[in-house]
Amino acid sequence: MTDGVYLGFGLGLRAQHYSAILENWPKVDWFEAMTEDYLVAGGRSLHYLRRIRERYPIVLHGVSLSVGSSDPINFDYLKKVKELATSIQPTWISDHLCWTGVHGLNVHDLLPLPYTEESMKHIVNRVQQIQDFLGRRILLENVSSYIEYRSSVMKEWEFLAAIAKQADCLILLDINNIYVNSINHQFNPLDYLDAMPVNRVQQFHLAGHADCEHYIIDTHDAPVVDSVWSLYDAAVRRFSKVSTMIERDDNIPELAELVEELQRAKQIAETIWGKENVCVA
Amino acid sequence: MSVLLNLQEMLQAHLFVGDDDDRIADQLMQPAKGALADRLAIYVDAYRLSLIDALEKEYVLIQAHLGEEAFIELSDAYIDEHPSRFFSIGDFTKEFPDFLVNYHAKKGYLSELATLIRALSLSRDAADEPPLNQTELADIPLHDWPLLCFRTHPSVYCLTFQWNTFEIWKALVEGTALPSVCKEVSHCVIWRKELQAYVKNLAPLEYLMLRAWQEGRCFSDVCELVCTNGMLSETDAAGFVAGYVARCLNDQFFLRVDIP
Repeated sequence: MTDGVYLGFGLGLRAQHYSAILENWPKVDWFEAMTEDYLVAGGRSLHYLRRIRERYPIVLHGVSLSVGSSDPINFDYLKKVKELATSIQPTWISDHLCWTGVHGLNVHDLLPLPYTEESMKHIVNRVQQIQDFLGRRILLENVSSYIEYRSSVMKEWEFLAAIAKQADCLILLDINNIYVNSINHQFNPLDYLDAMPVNRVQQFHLAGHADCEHYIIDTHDAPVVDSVWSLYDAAVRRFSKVSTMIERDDNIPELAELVEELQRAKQIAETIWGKENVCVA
Repeated sequence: MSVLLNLQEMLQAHLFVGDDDDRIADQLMQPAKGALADRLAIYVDAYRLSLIDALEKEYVLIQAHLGEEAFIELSDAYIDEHPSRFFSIGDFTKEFPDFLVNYHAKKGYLSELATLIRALSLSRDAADEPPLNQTELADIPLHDWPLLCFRTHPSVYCLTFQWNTFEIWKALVEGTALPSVCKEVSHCVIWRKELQAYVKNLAPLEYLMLRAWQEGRCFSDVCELVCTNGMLSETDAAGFVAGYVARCLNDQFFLRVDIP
């Protein structure tokens, strides 16, 4: 059911690392590029993306699809994404199961959805239109959240799994976000993993967060914590070979430090899958 | 109205005005730990902070000039007046120069400074078109020259200031003492060569020529303009314009040349 592509262990592509990547060609299997950073006519960022693409597989990860918004689908945005995809040939394109604004506005945050039949039907229809337009299946990522709607009639994991099935899309499972939500909304994160259809999970995200006593904020500004590594271990056991990457959006360290952190993911996978089945460059 | 749209309108309204519109609170579960207000505040703060961060990244020189507190106050006012309608957060910052015209009406140079900074960003991200080269021009017969229309590269922006904005910008970039702010008409050009964006002052006649080319005027029109405005003879004007064409070619200002 997945596209059957296993890329190994990757990192988020950040402008701070362009030079280090081109100078050292680090042992990273692939990079995930933020779609919106490259929706420009030309210049430096596109230049580096193209150079890096010559040596590494790239996937595109967006934040403005707003698949759950009540606004009409933004086909101007999608057209630009499609043009970029034609040029870069990403292995896949992903975005988030969320909404980012209504009435033509964009709050530039990944806002949670009510888990209702209405939302589900709305999103399934939109994902189908988006996939038709792009000519490929997309990956939807679970987001961190801090609130829950009274109108929700199902669990987050039921909502995600049902949408993926009905829209025939794939899943980008953010292990950190599952952990964050399990603390914020008090559920067992293993229940979440168990509910995910194995054949639709194409990618894992790992990231750091900030513990604020009564809740956790998904900050992406720190190393992955042990409890998330444990959950990743469980995920690898359940889903087997899924392309994995570490996201860092703030307090971005030297590339070498992230490459080192990525080794931990590789070690976990090696322990479970056996050394010969894991690749890092 | 659908339940989904209703919830989205309420949450979005709360993000914009905080506690002044807390209808959304009634639609949310009380969290197992802590207060709902704290959970909602995470979204309200994230909304403001991400947009302020985008403005700081783009206009870091203005932030340095005004100070952090004043810049946040300015950013808050901009966010309230110009909520983002863009899929790219970088584009949210593009109306900032116009906003400053009224917000800081007494400091007219601030808007011009923001215009210069924004033009540098646009130039950096402009299309990767190969510039016109010397060889292409050398192949054009001399008798066609009066009709030549030089098209500027998409990365070229010509700006006019009413203040000594370029000098202020330069001092901010170099971290040197700011010159006294004074009213004086000046011009500059912004362009990209390879991956680097540049800016430099333009003499009035240079500005006149570049703007004329941007408007699609031909070589002989530009010579006439120079003749009129530069008080040069026709022969001297042609030589003057040809000399400037050579410099523009070297700087990679031109995309192509059209012969109608």
